Amino acid sequence: MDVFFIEVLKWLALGFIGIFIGMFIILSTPPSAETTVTPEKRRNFNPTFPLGREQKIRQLADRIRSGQSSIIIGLFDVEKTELLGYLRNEEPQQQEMLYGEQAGYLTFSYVDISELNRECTPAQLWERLLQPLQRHAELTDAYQVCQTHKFSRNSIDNLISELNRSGGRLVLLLDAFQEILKFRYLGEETEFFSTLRTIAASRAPSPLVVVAASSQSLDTFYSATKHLNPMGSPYLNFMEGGITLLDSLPESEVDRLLSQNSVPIPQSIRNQIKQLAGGHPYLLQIASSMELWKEGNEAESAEKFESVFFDRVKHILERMLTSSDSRSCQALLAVIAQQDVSGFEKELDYFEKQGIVAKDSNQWHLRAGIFRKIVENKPQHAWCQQPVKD
Amino acid sequence: MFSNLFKRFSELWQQFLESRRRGAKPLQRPKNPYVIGNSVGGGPAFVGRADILQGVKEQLRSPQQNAIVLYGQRRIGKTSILKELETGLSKDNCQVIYFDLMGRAASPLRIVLSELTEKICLKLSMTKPDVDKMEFHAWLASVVNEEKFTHSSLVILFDEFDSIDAPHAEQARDEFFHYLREKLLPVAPQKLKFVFAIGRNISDFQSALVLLRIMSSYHVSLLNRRETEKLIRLSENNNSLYWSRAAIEKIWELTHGHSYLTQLLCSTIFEQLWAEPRFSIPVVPRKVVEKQVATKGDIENIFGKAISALEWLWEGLPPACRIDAAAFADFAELGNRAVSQKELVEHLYRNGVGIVVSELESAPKYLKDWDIIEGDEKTGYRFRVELFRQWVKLHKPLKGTLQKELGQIRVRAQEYYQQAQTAHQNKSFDEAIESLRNAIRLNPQFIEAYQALATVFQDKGEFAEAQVVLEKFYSCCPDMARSQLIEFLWKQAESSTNRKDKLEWCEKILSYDPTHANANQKRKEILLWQAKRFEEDEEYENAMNAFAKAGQPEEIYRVWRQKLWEQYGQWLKGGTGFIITIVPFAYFRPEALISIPWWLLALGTGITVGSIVAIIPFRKSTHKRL
Repeated sequence: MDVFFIEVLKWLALGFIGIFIGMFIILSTPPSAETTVTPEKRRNFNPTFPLGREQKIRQLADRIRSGQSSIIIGLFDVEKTELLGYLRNEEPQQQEMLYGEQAGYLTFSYVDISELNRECTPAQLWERLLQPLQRHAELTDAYQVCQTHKFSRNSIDNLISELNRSGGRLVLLLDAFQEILKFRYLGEETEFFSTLRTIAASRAPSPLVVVAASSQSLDTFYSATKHLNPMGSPYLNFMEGGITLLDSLPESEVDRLLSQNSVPIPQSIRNQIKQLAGGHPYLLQIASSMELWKEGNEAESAEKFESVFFDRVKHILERMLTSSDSRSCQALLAVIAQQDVSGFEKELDYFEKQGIVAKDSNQWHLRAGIFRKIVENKPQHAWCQQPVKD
Repeated sequence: MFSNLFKRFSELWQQFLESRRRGAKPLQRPKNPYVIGNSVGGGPAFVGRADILQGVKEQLRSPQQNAIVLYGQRRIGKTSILKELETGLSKDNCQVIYFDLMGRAASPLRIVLSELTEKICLKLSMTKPDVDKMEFHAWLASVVNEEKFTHSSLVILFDEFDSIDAPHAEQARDEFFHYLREKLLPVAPQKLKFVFAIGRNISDFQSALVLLRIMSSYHVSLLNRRETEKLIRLSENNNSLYWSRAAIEKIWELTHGHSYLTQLLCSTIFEQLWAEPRFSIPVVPRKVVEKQVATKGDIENIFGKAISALEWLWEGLPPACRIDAAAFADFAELGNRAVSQKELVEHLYRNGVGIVVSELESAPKYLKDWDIIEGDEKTGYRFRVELFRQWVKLHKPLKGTLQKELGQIRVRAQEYYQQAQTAHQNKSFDEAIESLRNAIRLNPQFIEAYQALATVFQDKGEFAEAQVVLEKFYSCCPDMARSQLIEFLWKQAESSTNRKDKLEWCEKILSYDPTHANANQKRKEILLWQAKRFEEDEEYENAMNAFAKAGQPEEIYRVWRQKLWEQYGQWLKGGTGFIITIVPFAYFRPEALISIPWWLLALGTGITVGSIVAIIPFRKSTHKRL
């Protein structure tokens, strides 16, 4: 019996030793050099900007690298504009960081749709969008054909095909994209949208990538353009895979970001920031960048903080509220005034994702307290003037 | 003691891993191989569809066949197949033109053909001709008859063909379809080939039905299991993500080969696993796939991206199909089992459908054709794509869907009714009948539609049809239908010239309303008249029946007596004549007469007289019954 027991122990010991040696060999071997994956050298995004959006930027950059289009949807126009600016920043190190070896082949074309004349025709818009391609000597002929053919679908397709042949890619960064529906010739005619879809979606990877920034969802675009193309596919469905919602951050992430601020923020101010800014990274970023607590004592800073923060965000939030459709606006006002919110579930869900409101034990309440002060600033009837979008 | 040892070992192990991490460099974030939104045809991400590609190629080689239609739901991969064909056919020595018809619905035919000409010229490096001076089909015929097409053909791929079918551009649409059918398709069937892609069933594309029916068709459906696995394993080709067998199994369970949803799910998992720097290539376990549908937040994550595609697919279904789909989605919560038609109908009743309209009963067939469900009436139906079912369950609950869609069904029925009213006013009876039938099909309780349909049939002179409609109406809503049905039947009775028909109409009226005075009166008159005719024709049984129906018992007795007399009166007369004849013989007994015994003489004379008396008729009928 003893002999058998010793024998079993011996084998067990040998087994353990074998497992240890195996694990040591596996763990001490560096990742295979044969794989196509090489060591990371461009993951170090700028930690200060855009706050809490590193992952979104990475996803957007990946979509551009793989030749696919995206749409950024968010509440704050400034944040979206800054994000587009970050994507097209021509500083070589950042380009390399975002797009790797493809950085040299990308041509960015940024257009703020809200700044264009609303009488602009599809041809004029295309001319504006394709302007940066004029810099490419190899595309001169194809560009001239476009001009001759008044930027017809075939001529644009030909230009983009030429760009593709030279290995290049055009990235259209369309800011305030929702404004396009208000254009006389674009919102009521199919030409621009159908050309955009045909060229951007019919190849993978596509030499024409669209990154649109909008305050409205794709569904709103579908509803608004369905009458133009009732039986066909939605015009913008090629962006569906790249919907990037600039939503709020979870509580833990907010705490982490505030604790990692370049200038340490006292705990009482941190709490105040959270109460006023809610969970939206853009508001958090504005709040944390004020650095009032750098000088003076904590109590004084806390007093000043609310009024300074209010002054900073007042116009942004007022604009956001007045440009929201009346139902969304009413929903938010109802939560602020603690009124009945039944029927506003869809709108409040959206604001919850944005970190503006929150739901605890089936009760909606305001998460970003600054909105209460913004709303108190004007009489109630001055808000909610925009018609319902859908 | 052991727990302390284990804790210590665990700490040492973590320290070891951490020290290793600090020393190692994270892997470069690889390219996401999954493509969502763009066409993947002609690229490495294109997977499967070998049967369709092979079939289309064979069809295009056939000298008799020069047009093919690919149909399937949105986001199923039709454009990718066209793009794959563009690449594949180019290798087969064909010149291929991809032409997207999106946005060209309102364009005049001349503009569309001009753009197509431009595209062909760019592809073939030709100078664009002046299409105003030359007809497009004639120019195309001259192009394909050129030497370079001796051993090859020109293939035109029309994408989004159904976007031409816009309600605001019916004239342009009809002109385009007519041109295709009459001029373009017959140009040079051996050299000029066409492939059309549409995002709906061929039978739903009414305006192009004549055109599409002459073409071969291919249904672009879900990928099979092998193809789906190949699609999932795309990330293994660039060593960015490895999939466990169980994870692949779970994805198959969720997407069942829906290429868009499979890519979306894989892409989302890819993004999640590569969100943080990685030191080794991740292997996807089943639980990561399960997590995508485990909590509301994660579902929102997946469906947030897929919502537009799923919403569009949902919007493309007719209202009745949406109701059935929501009901099927409800059922599958009970387990992945098939649901019979009967169970479906019962479930709809339980959820407040007052009456199961024929649309709801026929919807499963449509849903099956559209790859939403699978199975048949015998084995039962089940959802094909579990992810879609979960989305329907979450976003389109049956109660809400019922309220909304039944309302829509009624609105559509009302629209048909309005169209019918207009058509009726314009004396377009057939059009009015068609519209009213559609209205009733959508809403079997649509009272006004029944009434109008019967009126249209009457105005058209099709009274039998009108009666059928009113009787069907009566079976559905007896109280509402009775007065119109009786009025109709009375009109028929009055206008009838034949007493027998008149009687039948009256009896029909009385079956619906036994107290109808006019019908009762008229019926009695006809029955009495009939009874008299029967009596005159000595058809006493019929006469007595007629008197009985008319409620005349004394007349029945009279006829009965007459019947008896008619039947046995001859015997009575003959017997009386016989007796009266033999009585004198028995009294006088004339023995000496010609030596014949008196009794024999009496018997002979009695029989003769009795027979003569028996056969003398009292009266003869000269009337004929009508």
